[in-house]
Order: sequence, then C-alpha cells, then structure tokens
Amino acid sequence: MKNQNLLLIDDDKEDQEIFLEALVKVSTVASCITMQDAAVALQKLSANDIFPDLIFLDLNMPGMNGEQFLLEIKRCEKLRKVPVIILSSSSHLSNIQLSIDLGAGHFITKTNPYEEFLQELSYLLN
Amino acid sequence: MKAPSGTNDEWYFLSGGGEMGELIRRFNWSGTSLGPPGQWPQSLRLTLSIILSSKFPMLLWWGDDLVQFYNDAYRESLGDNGKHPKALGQKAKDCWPETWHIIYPLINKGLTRAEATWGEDQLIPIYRNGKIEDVYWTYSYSPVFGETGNVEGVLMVCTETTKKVLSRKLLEGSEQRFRMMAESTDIFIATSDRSGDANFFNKAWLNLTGRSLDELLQFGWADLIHPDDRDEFVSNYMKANRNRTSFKGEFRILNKNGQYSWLLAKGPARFDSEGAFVGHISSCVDITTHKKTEQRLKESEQEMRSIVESAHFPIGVYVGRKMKIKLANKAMMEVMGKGYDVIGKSYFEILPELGSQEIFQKLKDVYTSGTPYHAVNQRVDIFINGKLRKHFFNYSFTPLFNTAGKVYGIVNTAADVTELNFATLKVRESERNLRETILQAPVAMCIFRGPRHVVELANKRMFELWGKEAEEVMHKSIFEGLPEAKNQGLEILLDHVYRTGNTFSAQGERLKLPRDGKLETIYLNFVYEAYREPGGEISGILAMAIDVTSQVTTHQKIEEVVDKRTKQLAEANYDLQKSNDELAQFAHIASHDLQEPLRKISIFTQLLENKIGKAMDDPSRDYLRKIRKSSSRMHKMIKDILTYSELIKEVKAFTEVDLNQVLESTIMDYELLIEQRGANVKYEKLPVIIAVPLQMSQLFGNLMGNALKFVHQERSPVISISTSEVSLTEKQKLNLDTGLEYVKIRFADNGIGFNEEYKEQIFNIFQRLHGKSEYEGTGIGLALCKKITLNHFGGMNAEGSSENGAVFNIILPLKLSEK
Repeated sequence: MKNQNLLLIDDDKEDQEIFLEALVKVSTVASCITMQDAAVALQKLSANDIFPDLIFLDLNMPGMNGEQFLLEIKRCEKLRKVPVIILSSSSHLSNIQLSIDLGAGHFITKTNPYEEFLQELSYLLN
Repeated sequence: MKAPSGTNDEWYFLSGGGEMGELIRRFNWSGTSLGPPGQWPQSLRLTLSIILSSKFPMLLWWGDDLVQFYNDAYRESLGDNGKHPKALGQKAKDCWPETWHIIYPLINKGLTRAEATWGEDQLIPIYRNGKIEDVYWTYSYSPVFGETGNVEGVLMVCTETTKKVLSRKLLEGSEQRFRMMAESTDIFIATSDRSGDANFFNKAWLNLTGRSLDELLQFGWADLIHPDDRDEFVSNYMKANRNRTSFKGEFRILNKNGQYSWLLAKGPARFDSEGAFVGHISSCVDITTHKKTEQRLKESEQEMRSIVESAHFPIGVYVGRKMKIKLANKAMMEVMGKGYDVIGKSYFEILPELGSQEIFQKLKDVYTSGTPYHAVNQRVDIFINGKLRKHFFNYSFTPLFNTAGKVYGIVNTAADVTELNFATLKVRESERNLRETILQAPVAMCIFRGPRHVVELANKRMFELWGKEAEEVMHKSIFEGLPEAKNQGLEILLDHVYRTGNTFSAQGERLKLPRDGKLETIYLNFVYEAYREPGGEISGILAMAIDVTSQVTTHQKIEEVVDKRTKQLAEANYDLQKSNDELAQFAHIASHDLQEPLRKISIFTQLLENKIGKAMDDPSRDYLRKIRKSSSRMHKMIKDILTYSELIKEVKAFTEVDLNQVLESTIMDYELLIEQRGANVKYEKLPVIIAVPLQMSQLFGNLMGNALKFVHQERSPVISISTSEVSLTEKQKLNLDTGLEYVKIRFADNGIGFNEEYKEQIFNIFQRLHGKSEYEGTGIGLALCKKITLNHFGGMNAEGSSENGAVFNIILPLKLSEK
C-alpha cells in the first residue's frame, strides 16, 4: 500500500481537524503528521526526520507560504518526487495555475462541499 | 677628202663623238699644219678622245696655228648660221676675229706661261644666228702638254651663262626701280622674306613711326600695332606667309606723336621668276581721317537710332513724297499692328485704312507746307490682326528739312491713350459701384479717407454699430466723431493698414461702444482693407464689420455649461471607475473571506449531524439539514461571485487552445451526471483558437452543466455541439471586427428551453427563470459565459423555445487582432 504516510501543512487548526476527520472516514490505514509551519516542515523533511508518501499543503500561511514551500521542495533532489497536493481555500485560477506550474500534483479546493472533499481524498488514497 | 673607213686603226681615238666625231673623221687634216691624224702626237689623240667623249662644252686649240677642235656640247653655243662647221680645223685667229683681243691673251697665257685661267659670267660676244650676240660665259683655259713636255695646245672648257646673267641684271634693275619708287612715295611699303621676317621698310614707314629701319626690322613693327588689332593682324599675316597667299587688313599703329594711325594694308605674295615664294610686299595707306569720320557718323547714327529704338512711345520717320518708312521703333510698329517688317515700305501702303480717316492728307499737307501738325486724343481706327480697332492717340507730324531748307521727310510721334480713356471710364464706374455696394451691404461698411481716417461714406448698419447718427460722424475723423472708440487699439490698426496696405481682420474683437448713451461691451468681426487709387497709392481704408456680440455671449455661455458638465462628467466617471474597481476588489475579498467561516459552518454542521444524527429528533434533524442547505447555497453564491469578480480583473493569458480537448475534458468531468441522466452528447470537430484555457473550460463546463441541469422530463437529453463560419453580414450585425475570422459554436439541447422573450435577460447576473426548488443554481452561469466570450472579443446569444430546448451560440475569433 502506498500513500499512507501523510504530511499536512496548514496553519489553521480547525482545517487540520476537518482534514483528520475526513481521513478517518476514507482510510483505516493512513497516518498523518500535521504541521502548522511550512518552514519547520521543510526543515524536518530535509533532515530526514519525516518521510511522507504524500504532502497536503495549504497555500495561505504566515511565514513561509505554500508556494515558497513548493518551490523549495521541488528544488531539492531528494524531496522532489514526493507528491504534493494543494489544499487551499482559494479557488483563484492564478493560484491553481501557479501551483501546477510549480509542480503540485493536484489541487483540492477547501471550499468544495464536504462530500466532494471526502470523495477526492478517498480517490487520492485508495 | 679621205674616207675614214679603211683606216680604222688610224682613227681609233676618234671613235664615237657624235656629229663632231663624224666631222673630225671626215675632215681633210692633211691641209692643216697638223697633217693627217696618223702623224698626230699621242697627247693630241688623248686630249681629243677626252673632248669627244665629254658632254661638257670643250674647245681645243692645238699647234702653232691653234687649229681648232670642239665637241657636240660646244657646237650648240656656236648657234646656227655662224661659225659652225667652218670652225673645225680652222685657225683660231681666223675663227674669232671679233673677239680675238679678248681670247688671245687668255690662250697665250696658257701657251706661254702654262697657266690656267678662270672666268665667270664674262661677256664674250659671238657671231651666231646671223648676228653678233652678247654672250656670257663661265670658262677655263688650261694648257695641254705634249710629249716633249712643252705646252702644245690650250683646252677651253666653258658653259654659256647668258640667261642667268641677263635675268640677274633684269632683277637688279627692277629692284633698284622698286627701291626708288618705294622711297619716294607716301605709301607705306615694306617687304618680308619667305620666313616672314621683314626685310625692308620705306622712308614713309620710318617717318610715320619715328623708328629706325633696324628697330622696325626687329619685329618692332608688330609691337607698334594697337593691342586690340595686333593679334588679329599678325595672325592674318602669318597665315598668309604660311599659305603663300596675299593678306589684307586694317589696323592702328602707334605713330611718332604717340597717337594711333589707322592703316589699310594690302600685301600680295611675291614669287621669283622661277615661281618660288620669296615673301610678301605690303603697301599701306593711312585711313585715319576716313576712319574717324566713319566712326563719328556711325556713332551719331547709332545714337539717334538708339534714342528712337529705346523710346517707349512710338516714333517713325517717313521720307519722300511717298512717305517711305525709314525708321520706326518697336512701339510704332506695334501701334501700326502690321508686324515688324515695315522699314522701306510706304506708310500709305502699310496703313491703307488711314486713307479714309484724313490722315494721309494731313501728312501730305505737312510735307508740302513744312508746318507741323499735332493731334490730341484723336480717334484712329487701325486694323490689327485683321480687325479694325478703335484707338485714341495724341500724335504729331513734324517736318524734316534738308540742308537746302526743303522738307524731305516727316517725324511721326504718337501716344496711344486708348487704354487711358477706357481705364478712366472704368475707374469711375467701379467707384460708383463700390459706393452703391457699401450703401446696400447687409453688413456694416464704411470708407475712411486720408491719414486722419475721415468718414467719407458709411451705411446705415455702420452708424448703428457706432451708435451714432450720420451727422455726428460724417466727414470727420472717426475718432473725432466717435471719441468712445479711442484708446481701444484701433488707432494703431488703422494707421498700420493705411501705411502698409496690409489687410487686417479680426474675429470676435471685444470693444466698448456707445449704446443709448452708455458704453457697452460688444464683439465684432471686422476687416480693414486699404482703399487704393487707380495708380495703386493708398488713399483710405475700407472697413467692414459684423456685430457678433450675441453669438459670442451665447458661445461663452455654452462653453461655460459644457465646461461645467464636462468636469462633472469626468468626476462622475472617475468615481464610477473607482467604485467599479472597489466593487470588484470588494467582491473578491468579501467572497473569499466569507467562504472560510461558511465552509467551517457547513463542515462542522455535517460532522455534528454525523455524530449525533441518529440520536436526534426529527425537528432537530430538519434544522440541521436547513443549516447545511443554506450554507451550501451561500457557499455556491459566494463562489460564483468570486469567479465573476475574478473575470473582471483577470490578467488574460491568451494561448493556443484546442477546443476539442476542452470539450472532451468537460465531458469527462460530467461523466457521472451524463451517465445518470442517460444523456447523448454529440459533437463535431472543433477548431484550435487563441484563448485563455481556463476560461474556455469554465465556458464549456457551464454550458454543459446547464444542458444537463435543465433536462426535459419526458425525453432523454440530447446535447449537440456543432460549428460554423461567421458570415460578413453576421459579423456586421454582431458588431465584430470584419477583418478577423470567427467560429460559431452552437450548443443545443432538447431540454426545457426558455421563453423567447427572456433571451436577453438570461445573460443578466443572478437572473433566474426557475424556482430554486425546481432547479438549483445561483444565476451567475450564463452571465459568466457571456463575460468570457466578451473577454475573448467574441459574443454570445441564445435562441430558445419552450418546446425544443435551448440553443446557445458562442462566437469566438480564431486569432486575435494584432491590435
């Protein structure tokens, strides 16, 4: 089984909670590490403290934002191959375009109905 | 006589020798002191053989008797009917009695002293041709030695030079005569040799120039020629020398008084008796007086002619009773109008049309009486170019008297005053017209006369404009009659026009003029134009003016209003723009920020429902459901507003978009729904266009979503997508760029459709035709679609009917205009 070790980077605690709730619903085997600070996450990833199969990334964050994180991770030889799913409250076309351009594998809009979110997450993990 | 034939060996030395050889051989020498030839000494034989074989005249005297021998060459000088042939074998003394006194001493000199003698061109007369002739000789007498060593004979070798001597003597004689003649004449005579160098100048030359012969010979003669004449004459002379021809010329030469004398030179080429060129002989005569007279004559005639020719008024000179035209200047010929070939012809012939106008008679009268005739402004009709034209002339016929006091001709002067007559009439007429025009003019007009701008004429409108009665201003300086006009800058303008003649015009000039006793501001368009006399000098100013006060004030008012309105409009526009931008920004921020809490409300509601759903009573569950539904609906609305607001300020990233791919991915997105509804989607091949990819996806997604949403309950949905070109008339109708190519994509369904009357409204934002309970939606979809097509410089419209479903036409350019 792959894509079972997840890393969620989101500064919003409630969103983290919603994500985890959803995760429990769609997968019984997946485990998820949550982080509020992208810079810390990048540091840990670089230091091999964590090695997720899949990274869920919020864009709009204080400090290092999602785009910066994405740029950094795609620059790094070792981390480049880890798929990154953008999880953003923005549905702004330019945000989506930029993320895809930066190498994001998928873009999930938080504002979609909860059911859709569950479907998408389920699709990604199974 | 002894035949020589038998004694060949005896005569061997006398062989040949022509006539004389023959005679010698036949001669009976026995009868002479020499004896027969067989006894002749060797020296005689040798000498004879030389003589007979020579072509040069030779004569030999031999022995004590001086017996003579001579050859054929010599025989010629003896002539006919003279000493030949008797002289052969004769004793010298017998042969030459007439010249013995000359010859003998010469012979004797050879005989006795053995000396040779040379004589050149010596006269030794000789009897020949029946008379004694004076003959000149060049000769040599030389002794001939015999075997004994004594002189035995004398040989004379000679040639006759009579001709040469005579011709020389002749030449000498003529030369002397020439010199005598040359020296004693007043004609200037000089000669030159074949190389062109002067070798003789006579006394007349020396007297004229005051130079010595040597000076003149050193080519000094050429230096004395006037510089203006020198080159031509000298080159003429040198040419004659080269070509051995004669020359002729006139030139001035510096005389001893330091003045120039005119000489006429003639120089024939000289040849000697043999015909060889020996040079030139020139004779010159002094033609100074003649030249001066000629010059004076020429000058005075020239002067007179040029006076006549240059005169601008017509002058003619007619001579004799027939009035032959001796002189007529251009002006006269033009008046006559008969061309420029009239000189030498009769006045009567040239101008026959004047015969009937009593002019011929007047000419004849003047000629006979010697009294001049003057006419003033008299009509004379002349044919010009075949047409009889009316002219007016001032003219005179003045008699010319010869030295004897008799009239020999007439001077005719004339002045054509025709145009002057007509012009005066015209000026009067046009002035009258002008005055009439001014008085009748529909604008204010007047004439100011003189430097003080005295009002000479003004029409009613002008008086009204001035705000004065006629009697207040007429015949006064305008600034006297209208003192209110002073110091408003008009003085300078009027003075300037009067001085320079430059027209001045003004538009909407502001002035203060009296109206009902008060000064009022009025606005004028006016023109000041110089008023000129027929001669061109400025005598006044013509003024025209139009009161444009009401136009100007109205215009000012309109401008004020327009200014104000423009300003307001600009402000409103600015505000509108600002609020538009703010609105778009607000919509974006608001909708974006509103989403967050709403999303969480929605999700946590759902989580709550999931958690305690089963334990909930029905009303509670219903509340929860309503909360969820409301938030879901609000979420959709916010999302659409967000999308729409983003469309407004989208930075467009146009690129090539394959619409087939867009449509296919749209179909894929809706795969589930299509399947659920059992819909049949048919489509044609679509073009590749330049567009914003995401907007194309939104456009197709919305239309597909609508088609799948508004399905008819009684028929299974069929969605068909087809394309066509957009015709020129369609482009014009839809207000599209006719220079671009467009594609029309027809999106048709067989759903519930809509009433035709809503075909415009359905594109309004938040416009809904159906209740929320029937069909979900925010009412933004079609507005968004239209906005997208407009963003792409295309358009969109709808055709609808309740029976057949809806059709949406999307029109998009294939490529964007380069503008």
